[in-house]
Amino acid sequence: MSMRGIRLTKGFLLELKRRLRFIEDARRLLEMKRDGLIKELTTRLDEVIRFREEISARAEKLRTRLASFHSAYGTDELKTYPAYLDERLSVELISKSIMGVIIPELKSIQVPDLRNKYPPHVISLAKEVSSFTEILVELSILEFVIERLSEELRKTNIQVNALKNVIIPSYKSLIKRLEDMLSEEMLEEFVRIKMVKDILMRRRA
Amino acid sequence: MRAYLISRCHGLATHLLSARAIQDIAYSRSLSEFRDVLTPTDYGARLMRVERINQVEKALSRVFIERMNYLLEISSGGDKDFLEAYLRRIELQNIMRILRKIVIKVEKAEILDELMPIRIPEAVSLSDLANSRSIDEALSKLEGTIYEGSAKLRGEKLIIIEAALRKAYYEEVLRKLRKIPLTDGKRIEELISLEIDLSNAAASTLPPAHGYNVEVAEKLMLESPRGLKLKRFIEASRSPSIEELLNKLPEYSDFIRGLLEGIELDVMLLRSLWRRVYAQRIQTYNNFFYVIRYILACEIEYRDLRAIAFSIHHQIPLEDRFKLLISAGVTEA
Repeated sequence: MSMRGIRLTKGFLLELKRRLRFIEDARRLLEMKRDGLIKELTTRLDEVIRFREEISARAEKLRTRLASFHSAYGTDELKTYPAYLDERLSVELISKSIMGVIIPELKSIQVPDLRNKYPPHVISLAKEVSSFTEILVELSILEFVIERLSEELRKTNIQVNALKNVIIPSYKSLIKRLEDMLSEEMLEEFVRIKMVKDILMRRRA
Repeated sequence: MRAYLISRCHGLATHLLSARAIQDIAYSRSLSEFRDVLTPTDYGARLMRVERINQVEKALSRVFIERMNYLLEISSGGDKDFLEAYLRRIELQNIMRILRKIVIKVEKAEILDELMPIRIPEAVSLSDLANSRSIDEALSKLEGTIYEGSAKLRGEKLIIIEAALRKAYYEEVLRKLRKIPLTDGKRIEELISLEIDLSNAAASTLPPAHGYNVEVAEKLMLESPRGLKLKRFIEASRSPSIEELLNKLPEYSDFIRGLLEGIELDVMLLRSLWRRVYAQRIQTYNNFFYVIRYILACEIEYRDLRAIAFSIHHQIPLEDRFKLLISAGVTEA
């Protein structure tokens, strides 16, 4: 930290110390936020890992099913079967704050009712695709939350590191320099006063 | 002329691949190997410069359609009338695909490009139909055609419209069946009845297995002239459980079980039809029924080859690949 704008006064030193205490409090708070975010992230990552294992198994099963349907009925049939469905999947989200991070949370998911809409050769495949889409929506929300939390963690980490490794040490070194300079000044003053006192004593004598 | 048509079918049947040959082709590891194996067959010329899977699919369907068009070309009189009505199933497929593509908003050029070019007098202009902007507009174009019944279904679900189209198709085929000699007509009627029965059996599984309304399942069913009575299927569809459904339709319990186990409906349906046709091979050797047998064999070959091509493309394991082959589940095709 440069010495520009710094006054060599005890008052200024006290102000600097007050600021340092404030910054250290902020660092502690940010560290708590970071730890909280890590905890949230870890929980959700475990969840996403479990989810992904389940999803990849189901995706593979669905891929085989789609491949089988494609092989038996051809491209045109596969391409046109969504035409039977007259509704679309709708998702309602609400916002939630975790450590100040706004994340979406699934409030409800409206899966179209497939009954009475598909011919017999399509219905079981349509059901599989529909239930897979449902968990895919849940996974994508979870992944989005993880992305938001990770981004916030990255920012918080940068802030904590900046405080811990740059700002606080520079404040500490500035305070030390100021203290050194002030004690040197005090010593000079003390010596000066002592010398003046000696001169005055000698004159009186 | 009928004798010529039947004898030409015997000649043309020698071009068909045997069930064993199709199973050997199923072992192909790549599309190029699949193409190479088919080089000396009728498919060779069409597959020569084909690389992509959709081109392979198109090439296979073109060979099938060419075969059907040739049959129409060499037939005449009542036989031609009946064959045109029978092969209207390809037109029906085209119409159903156009309707679905209108819903999912496919470009007209793409719709027309993907149609099966069967040469029968069009009941409705497919090009005009593909121009429609909505299902209702398309349905209005079906007025005055053999599919008129479905034209009245504006605002209905697509599944119901398609069922009405199928019904119109079968009615037309059965009407034209009168032009075929009695014994042959009876056999063809039995075959069509089996086809309708199997579709009805599949529709009857919808309420107990998938929670459909019985009324919807009922609308998907058709009366077959020589099959089970429609009310038996309707009654079966009211079953609260699959076990009860199977008990009510013991004639088709294997078919229903297979369907519920995940075997593709068309695979099972064509297998059943081929079994029926194959069982009558001796009696029908010199009859018009042989023409129908040839058409069915062509369709099975086309579908099997298409299934093999897609299985290779999707890297479906061999044991699952065979489950998709119609000819693998029945006696020598």
